[in-house]
Amino acid sequence: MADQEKGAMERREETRPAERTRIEREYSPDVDIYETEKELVLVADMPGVERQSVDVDLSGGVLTVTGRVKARRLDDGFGCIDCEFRPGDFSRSFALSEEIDSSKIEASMSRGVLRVRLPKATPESRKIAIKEG
Amino acid sequence: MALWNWTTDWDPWSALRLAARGTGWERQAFPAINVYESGEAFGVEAEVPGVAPEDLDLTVEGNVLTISGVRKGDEFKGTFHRRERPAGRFSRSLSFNVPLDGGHVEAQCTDGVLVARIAKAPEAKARKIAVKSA
Repeated sequence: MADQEKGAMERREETRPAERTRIEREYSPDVDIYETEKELVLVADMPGVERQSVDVDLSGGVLTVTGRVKARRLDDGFGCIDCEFRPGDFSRSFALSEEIDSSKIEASMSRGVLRVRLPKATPESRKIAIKEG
Repeated sequence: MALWNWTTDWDPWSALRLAARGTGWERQAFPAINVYESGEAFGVEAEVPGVAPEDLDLTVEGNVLTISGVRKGDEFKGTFHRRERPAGRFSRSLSFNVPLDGGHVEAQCTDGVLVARIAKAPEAKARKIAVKSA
């Protein structure tokens, strides 16, 4: 398990070799990940992210979720007196060990929570037919 | 708030909290809240992803604003690999240095962020004083 985690971290570094051009902060969203027989489900908290500003990408066995946060809604007359968070975008990547059927990935966004369902590839589609020689 | 007063307004922990965010070793209270002030009102932003508006309560009593509610967990069947999102009941109270006007509160929840404007009680509002010429 520890080794898998390390692998995921190393890969994550590899997938983001370049610096961002935007100056905004980028946070790592809190996630739940669970697995059933048929699929892997990722749930990520991305408060302040609209549906249109979410991006889910699976390439090279690495799943990346990104969300852009809209500027906050209080008008200029308000000055911050105690701020626990600053608006920033969200991004996080995971190395997937299961074979995922990428054509059937479904993602939905509701109340600032992203849900991604990643169906596992069926054994039939992964099976390689052996010819008689 | 006319002038920034370091004896009362400076919060040495705010920078630390911001720096710690997203690193995983901090477990801050849920929800994270930003507090703003104008002459007439206070503004509050709270990050409440996944909370339905009907499960969210705002109450004003004297100079205390309380944000409470419940965040329902997902129904799932399977094995958890990661579980970082808190679920269940939550409640946070903010006490202000002036009384609030519970009759003038506007609150809206969009994309998991609650934005509320709470008017200051009439006696606490900033007053503009006209200066007469002699």
